[in-house]
Amino acid sequence: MKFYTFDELTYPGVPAEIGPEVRFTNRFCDPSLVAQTYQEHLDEWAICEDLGFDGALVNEHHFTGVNIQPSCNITATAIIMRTRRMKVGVIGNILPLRHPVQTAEEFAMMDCLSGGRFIGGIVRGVPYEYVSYNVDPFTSRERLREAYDIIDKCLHQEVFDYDGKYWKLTGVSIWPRPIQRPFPFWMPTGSLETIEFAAERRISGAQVFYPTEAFKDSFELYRQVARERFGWEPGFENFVGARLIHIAESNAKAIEEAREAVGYLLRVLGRPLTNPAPLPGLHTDRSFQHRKAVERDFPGPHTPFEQMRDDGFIVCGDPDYVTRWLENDMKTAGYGHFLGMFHVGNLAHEKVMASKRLFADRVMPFLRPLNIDAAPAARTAAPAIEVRTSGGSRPSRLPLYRDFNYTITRDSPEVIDEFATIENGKLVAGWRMRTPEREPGGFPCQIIFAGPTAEHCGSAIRLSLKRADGSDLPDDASVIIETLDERGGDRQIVFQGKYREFARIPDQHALGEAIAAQQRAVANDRYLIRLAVTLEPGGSPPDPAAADSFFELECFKHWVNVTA
Amino acid sequence: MGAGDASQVSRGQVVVGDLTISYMKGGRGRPLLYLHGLGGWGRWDTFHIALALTNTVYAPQLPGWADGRIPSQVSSAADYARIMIGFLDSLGVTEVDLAGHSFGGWIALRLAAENPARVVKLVLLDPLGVQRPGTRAVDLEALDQEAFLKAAFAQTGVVAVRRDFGAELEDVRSSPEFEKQWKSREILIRLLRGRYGDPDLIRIAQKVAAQTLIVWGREDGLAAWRNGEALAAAVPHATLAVIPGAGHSPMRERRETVQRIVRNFLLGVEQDEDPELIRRT
Repeated sequence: MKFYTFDELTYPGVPAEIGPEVRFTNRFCDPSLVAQTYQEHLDEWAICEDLGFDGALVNEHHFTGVNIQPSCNITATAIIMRTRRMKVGVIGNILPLRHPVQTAEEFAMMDCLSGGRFIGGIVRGVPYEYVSYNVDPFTSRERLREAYDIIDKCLHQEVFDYDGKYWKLTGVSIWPRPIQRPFPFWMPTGSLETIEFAAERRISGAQVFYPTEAFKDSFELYRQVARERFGWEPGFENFVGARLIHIAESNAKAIEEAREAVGYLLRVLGRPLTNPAPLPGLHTDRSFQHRKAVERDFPGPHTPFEQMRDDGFIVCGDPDYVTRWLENDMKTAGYGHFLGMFHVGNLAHEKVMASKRLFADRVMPFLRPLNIDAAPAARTAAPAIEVRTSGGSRPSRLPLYRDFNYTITRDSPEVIDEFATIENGKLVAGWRMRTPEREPGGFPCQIIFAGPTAEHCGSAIRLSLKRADGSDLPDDASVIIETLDERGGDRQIVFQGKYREFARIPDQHALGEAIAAQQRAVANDRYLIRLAVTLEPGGSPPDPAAADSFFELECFKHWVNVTA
Repeated sequence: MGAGDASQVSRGQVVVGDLTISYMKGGRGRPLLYLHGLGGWGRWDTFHIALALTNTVYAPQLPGWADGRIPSQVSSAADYARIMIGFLDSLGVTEVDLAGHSFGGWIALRLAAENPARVVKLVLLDPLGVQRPGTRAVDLEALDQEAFLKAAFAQTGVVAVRRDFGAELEDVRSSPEFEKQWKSREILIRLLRGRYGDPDLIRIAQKVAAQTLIVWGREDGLAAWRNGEALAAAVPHATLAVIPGAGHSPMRERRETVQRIVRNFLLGVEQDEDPELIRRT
């Protein structure tokens, strides 16, 4: 079992009596009390590392006093700065309300800032947030799906485009990349649809507040779905249970302190701004059909405190009681991460600290051996894509250069002429090209042939040169492609080899089959690009003008803006 | 639009002839007139919110319903339909989507048939008044509370009603919704004076020009779903969706399913596959 502190960060100063006629806005928020509360919570989180906790998590809500960290990424960062060893995470960013690229970027930042200790939690949001952000709740799942897809790509792919219903993106390549790959995601999984979503993507499932049987229903369904529909077996490490918790030296004291704190919490929770009736659209009529007693999930206005305690909405008592209660919960529900919500409502700072110390000393050691996986469920990395090319003197498994934006062919304006002559007793034929003229604004052009790197081969080169009688050239004809300045200097060789290398490729346009440039070459302003094939005299001469003769030089063409 | 638009409800009044009509208004989009039935009046409810996500919803209180005093100029669904046209005129709304439930569905059907150019899309949920040849409408007056409970509700015991956080158990028989519908029944009895169905209504429905969605709870004991089949055959551009496990108010007993079907219809998008539903097109 792993242990975490989890915190809603409730504003502690909501007045006792506010009639329903009063619009509950931030008029009731005292920022200096907020500042003090933040400092207390920071101490409460930092101490957990000393006490041997495995991590700290925070979450976000909006427009409410129940949770005053509308950006949990900010509080998570504060915890990161105060700790060295513990995991730090959020559970989580409200995906349907946020821009997913920003979430991914911040996850990557926090992962790097923490040295790879971050846990990225994602949630769908609660009804009043859809009211406050004016989002259609019926679109919630679609948005979640798209947003997660984008975040996953941001954190695991080098660059991508995305043409979605809610977000359309081009050329996304986030800086920084995260340290952890694959990236750990957690999310609350209560409804059938969310369980399916998470199990498919191997996102760990969390449950908060509900009774033990409810945790068990959800986690068992998750296991079943994962096994039967997606072919993998979750371990304890894939399940997270979170509960309000308070420990004192005696049961009576713990109950008394917790009763007051929970009362405060529920009172503040009941005051979102405007929501005249339960919000439609977030769930379906099937969402909770796997649950046996869904009406016991969350306390209502008439739920007695004793039932909340029995059900585990608030686990409170002396260390012995809490140990026994949690042991049963953990064994029945089968989760491997426990999130203790120690700062209940407006509970005083000293009581929270004392509760955490008692937990660390007299509860944690007894529960730690529970629910350990024999061997962690390994996530297999996708196999690397291999593309064979026949470029240059060494066969390469790298793909061709992909970011070209131009292809020079015999019909391009860069072509000056084709030639077929005799030089030094050999037949030489081919094409000459020149970099394009300066733009009217005076900007010169560059033609860049990409060379091979660790990730890719060079720019693609395709060539076929026929003799005038239609027959093929000999395999040992020499081919050279070079760039030169207008005086014949700065000679850079793009390719040098034998004609057979082109001739033996059945389809030079098939994926990855073209010859690749052997090194990087840059044709600057007024440079010449020369493709020449040299062969022994005899036979029909090579004919660049023949209908079947062609060449293609993929390259990167751009106008250089030299203004300062 | 969003849940913010759909949750902000304003209340207004218009004068139509010598009647003052109160209404609730919320949401953003093309105007939609929602005509309530036995329930669905007085409070901005979850179903109103669902409609207000796609449309600007006007939900008038049918005159006579709040206090039980039916105005003298009203004695039928047709009378209410004329008043509702006056309601739209007072608001300056010419073209409208129209949704009606129960008795409101009867009014909506007449309104759409008699003013085909003004109704773009029509949604009928368990409309009263539809009477297949050779059948008789349910006699509301003959039902005592027990019989009414069984006829109107598919789930009559203790049900879990989902709220924003968790769910609450409610005994249907002693719920505010039952009380409201029982009270509405009394108003209808005085209004309709024994004429609980109109044998001409199916023929009149042929004049409806609007794209029409008919939703019917399969267990509806106040209005049989087979009447929906006959209605769907009569209305030129109609689809019928029969909801299992739901009675006279399917938007309460199969809340999410019904809301989704109505929403997709209003948006003009494809319906989700649901093998449990009976559909006729």
